[in-house]
Amino acid sequence: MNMNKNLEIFVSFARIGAMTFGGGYAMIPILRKEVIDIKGWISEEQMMDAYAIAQVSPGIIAVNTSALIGFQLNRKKGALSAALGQVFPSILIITLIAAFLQEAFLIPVIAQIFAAIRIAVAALIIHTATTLFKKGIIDIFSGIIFTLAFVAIVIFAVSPVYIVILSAVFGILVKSLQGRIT
Amino acid sequence: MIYWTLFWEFLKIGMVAIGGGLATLPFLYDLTVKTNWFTAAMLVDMIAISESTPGPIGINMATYAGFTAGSFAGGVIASLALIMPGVILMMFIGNAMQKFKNSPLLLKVFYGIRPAVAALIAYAAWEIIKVTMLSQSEQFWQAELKYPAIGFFLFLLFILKRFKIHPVAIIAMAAIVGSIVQF
Repeated sequence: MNMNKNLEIFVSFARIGAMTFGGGYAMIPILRKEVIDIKGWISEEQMMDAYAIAQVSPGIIAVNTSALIGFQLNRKKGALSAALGQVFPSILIITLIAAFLQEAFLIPVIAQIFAAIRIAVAALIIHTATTLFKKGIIDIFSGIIFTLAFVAIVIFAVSPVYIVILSAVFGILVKSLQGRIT
Repeated sequence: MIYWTLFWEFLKIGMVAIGGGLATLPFLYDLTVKTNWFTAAMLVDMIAISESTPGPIGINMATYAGFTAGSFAGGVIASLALIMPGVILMMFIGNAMQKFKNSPLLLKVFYGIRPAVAALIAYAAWEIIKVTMLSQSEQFWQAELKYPAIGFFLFLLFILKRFKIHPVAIIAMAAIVGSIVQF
């Protein structure tokens, strides 16, 4: 691991930051493509774990996910490179818009373009979700956790923070009881 | 000095905002009251622009608010202050995760968390489908389907399934279509 490794991490995450439209979840398809398909740095399970931890931690979900993945690649320097890479395009683009383009950005055709981009993001998320389902739902109990979590969040609007914490407790209970029985 | 105040205010937001970019919103509203950096009306524009530019919404808003308050340096300082607590915390968690990688307890925790993450992503998909493909109404079962948007969605999904295409190519395609067609 050397300077070039950190630069490589920075560039990869800058690319992810520049291509993510929307909140933390919109990043998942792009992140998956870059760090799993292209670079082969981590597994799908590792990505889901990092995303879960970022959900329950203070701060920006996308940045925390990146920092945690970066840490696994090159410890503290990796975490820093990933986090700074992730925010670099945002800072650049927003500064340019705030300085020069604010009026132009509020015109209707731009809104129309972003409405179409949101449809694309929906397609991307559904597409990625189907592969992640296979990694997360591996038996009957994880299927139950998925169903309960989905109902809790969609119908009862439970915060993702509690969902992640409760599912962790559920995981401990189920696996401990299974160990007791077999 | 404004840079110090900016740094401190956004560091505080970074420490308490759990749940991502939109969780920083109430704190930004609070700043419109506490400071004369920007007004609530300006904040609405900032949110609109932050949501429609690439990158995490929280970072975009912090950069925007920081820029409005203290120009270029202000934007950089606000963003970096916002991410600092989380990034430092991730270093500790990453370290602990490597140390206890094979601990049975951690494996149990992740066994429970992974399907929940799948549910969170499914929820995100559902939310975005609601916004883009259903008309606005009180209850979603009363909403009408936006057929052109649904058609475009299925078309993009088909392309994704059929060809190994980069996500950005899909986004670019949607941007081009969106500049001509209104969904």
